[in-house]
Parts: sequence; structure tokens; C-alpha cells
Amino acid sequence: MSGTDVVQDGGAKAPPNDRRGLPRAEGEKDLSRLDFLSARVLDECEVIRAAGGKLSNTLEGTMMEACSLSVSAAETSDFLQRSQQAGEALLAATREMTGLTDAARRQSAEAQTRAADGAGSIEALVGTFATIGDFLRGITRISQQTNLLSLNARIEATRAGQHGAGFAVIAQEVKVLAGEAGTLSANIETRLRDLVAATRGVQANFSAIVEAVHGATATLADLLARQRMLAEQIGDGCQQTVEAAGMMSGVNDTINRMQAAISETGEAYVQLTRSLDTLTVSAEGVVRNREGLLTAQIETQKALA
Amino acid sequence: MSINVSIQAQGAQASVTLRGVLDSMSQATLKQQLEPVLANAGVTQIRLDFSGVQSMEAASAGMLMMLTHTAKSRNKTVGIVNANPAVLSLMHKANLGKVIQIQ
Repeated sequence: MSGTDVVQDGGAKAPPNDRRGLPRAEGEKDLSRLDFLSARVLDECEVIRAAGGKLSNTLEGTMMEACSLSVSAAETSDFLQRSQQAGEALLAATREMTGLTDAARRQSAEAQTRAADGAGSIEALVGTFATIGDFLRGITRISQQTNLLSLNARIEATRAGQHGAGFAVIAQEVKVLAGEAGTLSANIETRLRDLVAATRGVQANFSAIVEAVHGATATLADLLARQRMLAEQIGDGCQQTVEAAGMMSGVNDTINRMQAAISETGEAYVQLTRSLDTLTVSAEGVVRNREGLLTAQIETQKALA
Repeated sequence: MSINVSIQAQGAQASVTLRGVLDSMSQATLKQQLEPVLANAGVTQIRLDFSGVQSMEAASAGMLMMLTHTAKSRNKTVGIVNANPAVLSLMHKANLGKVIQIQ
């Protein structure tokens, strides 16, 4: 058996050795398998690299969206906070207005009572004027009767002649006084009628005031009820704003976690890329060193034989 | 309005001055301009000067965030300086301050 041939079991002839006198066929077969596997590894590395590139782009896009979302959420939170503050200020102002309206309503009710009392007093005054008018008419009647009496007295004095002369003078004076009293009484009665007419006008105005104040009181009461309802609605709105702000805070936390997850994925991607680079270099090294590997394999086989 | 990028490398630090509006249109320009800086192994610090940036879209904060990760994977740090109050406010709202040093 030559040094370069290998006889296998059953007497079959072994494949020829290579230029170094080693079994070529087995080594080439292994090397082909190695070439195939290295090529597969390199191909898969390329596939993973391409997928990684897409992942990187997707991550960047997602991070950009996350940042936009984060800014929107932060601005929404700011807006909600400002809305809450404005709502609380509005609520305080509405409550203050409600207090003022309630005070105005009470004052209006008081004014209504006073005006009604005033109208009653005027009515009583008109009644007093009527009584005075009756008195005046009595005075007029007395002055008329006095005048008549003075006329009778003068007649009687004339009949008495010389002795009745002094009495006639007195009767004349009584007539003048009765006439003046009658004139004064008539004047007072005229003025009293004017006064009654003016007082009736005041009474009518008072009645209008009472009616107006009554309307104002009712309007204020309605306004008060509406303001209270408004305050309640504003209070509800404030509460909802606070709840919305709380929810936005949760959204912010979620966005923060999302950004952290994207960052971690990005770091994992970088690690993956590095590992991929190492794997590629290793696979390429295997291809480059195939002859050395073949030698090593043959040497190993020889050593084992 | 696009972004204008000028880069000045001095030793380990690269100073990148930005002028204009940082929006979706200008992001690609910035990334393209920064690629040589990221590839330069000698640069370990990237300083982004925002004094000329008038405004910025929120999404651009995401781009800067990922840019920072890329820089970190290449053993570089990124810092932002001289941003105007509006831009600064937007950066903080986007949580950019968690990954980039903002001065």
C-alpha cells in the first residue's frame, strides 16, 4: 500500500490524496458544507441587518410620535390646569355674585314692604284729607249761617232805631268776618282738593313702585336660582377638569414608559447590530480560512488515525 | 423653511450650529449632515447649538432622542445649548431632557 493511498474496509479504493498527501475528498466535502453554512450565516446576517434597519426606522418613527404625543399631553395638561384655575375663579366670582344678588333680593323685598307701607300711609292721608274737607264744609256752612244771622241782626237793629245803631255796626262787622271766614274756608277747600289730587298721584306712583319692586324681587329671585344652578354646573365642570387632569397625568406616565421602552429597544438594537457585525466577521473569517481549516481537519484526522 | 447646519470639529468635540426651523422637512438634512460626525471615531462629544433655531416640531425631539442613542452606541455624548425658551419648553415637554443634557 502506497503512502498516498488509503484502503478502506471491503477493499474499496479510497479517494486520492491532495498535494500534501492527505485525503482530499472528505476534506472538500466538509469544506463545501462549511462554505454552504458560512454563506447561509452571511445571508441570514444580511436579512437580520435589513430587518434591523427597518426596526431602527420604525423605532425612530415611533419615538417621534411618542414625543409629539408627549408634547400634546403636556400641553393638554397645562390647558386643563389653566381651565381648572379659570373655573375655580369663575366659581368664586359666581358665588360672590350669588351673595350680592341674594342681598339685592332681600333689599328689594324690604323696599317692597316699605313701599306697600307707604301706599297704605298715603291712603290714610287721603282719608284724613277727606275728614278735613268735611270740617271745612262745616266751617263754610257756619260762616254762611253767621252771615245770615248778621243780616237778621242788622234788620233788628234797624227796627230798634237810634238804640240799635251800635248793634248794627257790630252786626256789620260780624257779616264781614263771616264773609272772610267763608272765603278762607273756600280757599282752603280748593287747596285741599289740589292736595288730594296730588296725593292721589303720589299714591298711584307708589302703587307702580310697589309693583315694580315686586317684579324686581321676583327677577332677582329667579336670577339667584339661575346663578346657584350655574355655580353648581361650574363646580361640576371644575371637578371634571380635575379628573381629566388626573387621567392626563396617567397618559403622561404611559408615554414616559413608552419612550423608555423605545429607548431600551433602541439599545437592544444597537447590541444586536454589534453582535451581528461580530457574527459576520466570524463567518467571513471562516470562509477566508477554509484552507487552514482543511489542513487542520486533515491533521486532526491523521492524528486520530 | 429648512435648517442650515454648520459643523466645526475641534479635537474630541464637534460643535454643530443649527439655523432655521427644525421640522419634518429638515430632519433628514440634519441626520445627513451629522452622519460624518457620528462616523468620526475621534469625536466623543457633539454639541448642538440651537441659538439659531427659531422653532421646532415635537417629532424632531424624537429624532434627536434616537440620534442620541446612535451617538451613545458609538461612544459619543450629545448636548444641546442656547435653545430659546419656546424650543426649550417643547424639549422638556417631549422628555428630551431625560436623554440629552440641555443647557
